[in-house]
Amino acid sequence: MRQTQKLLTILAVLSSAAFYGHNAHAHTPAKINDAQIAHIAYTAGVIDIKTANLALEKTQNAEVRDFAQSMVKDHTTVNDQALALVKKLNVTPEDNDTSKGLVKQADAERAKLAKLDGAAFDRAYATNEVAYHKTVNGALENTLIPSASNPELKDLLTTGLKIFKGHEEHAEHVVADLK
Amino acid sequence: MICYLQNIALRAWIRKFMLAAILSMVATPVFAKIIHIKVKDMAFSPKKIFAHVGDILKWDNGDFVVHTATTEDQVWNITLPAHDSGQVVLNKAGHINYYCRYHPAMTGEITVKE
Repeated sequence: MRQTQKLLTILAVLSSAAFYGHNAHAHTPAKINDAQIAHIAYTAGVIDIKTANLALEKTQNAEVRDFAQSMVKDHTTVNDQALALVKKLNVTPEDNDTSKGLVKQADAERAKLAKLDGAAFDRAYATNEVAYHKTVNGALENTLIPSASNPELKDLLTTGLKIFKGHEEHAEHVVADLK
Repeated sequence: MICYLQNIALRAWIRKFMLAAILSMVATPVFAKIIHIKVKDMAFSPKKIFAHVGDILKWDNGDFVVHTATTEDQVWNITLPAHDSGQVVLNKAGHINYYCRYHPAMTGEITVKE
């Protein structure tokens, strides 16, 4: 669970109003730009798809399977929309320390989940999904959406947030049912 | 002469019968409504519907993700593709609770009367 906490810390930093990229100590902070925002949002989606695919490999629980399938379906759709938008806007998503940190920590978390089986895996996966969506949604709501300058990117992130809030509720239902 | 009058009466009766039949065929759809339910931003709107047997429910999905209109007893499981629609004819009275199978927080209710 320590890895989960690290991952959530990265997103929590993002969700705080004080996030200004890796140059946080500077007096004039560098504001996160649209290319970085697009990269972070896309990366967060890819992470959830990979974790859902792990769940689809491991779970025997129909409800967990349905949830994981929804995650793959929705995050793939949102990411496809994001790719189409950055192409249209002629923006190249820009890798950044936040995206790198997310990937590193998520890989570690997925490795831990992979060692679990049966009900233990289902519970850990569903609980992680609640926490992950809660934190990603906080980052979207408090930092990424307010920081986005392009209105179409802002709209896409806002729509994404509505979808991901639905995921958070869905994950909470799954956790409750697994108890 | 009597036979001639009987023929006229018979023809008039047939005309009336056919007119009534045509009118009834035309008139039926007037009573059956198409009720549109908007699916947008992860919600069904309106959430509660009052309808009659024979009405058609049509869900118009304005989201870019796929939804479903699925009854709790799984009698319907209508896929609503992104930016597309799906429909069902209400063929019996009763109360129906439905939800989106992919996003269970999305729910709706339909009350169907005779």
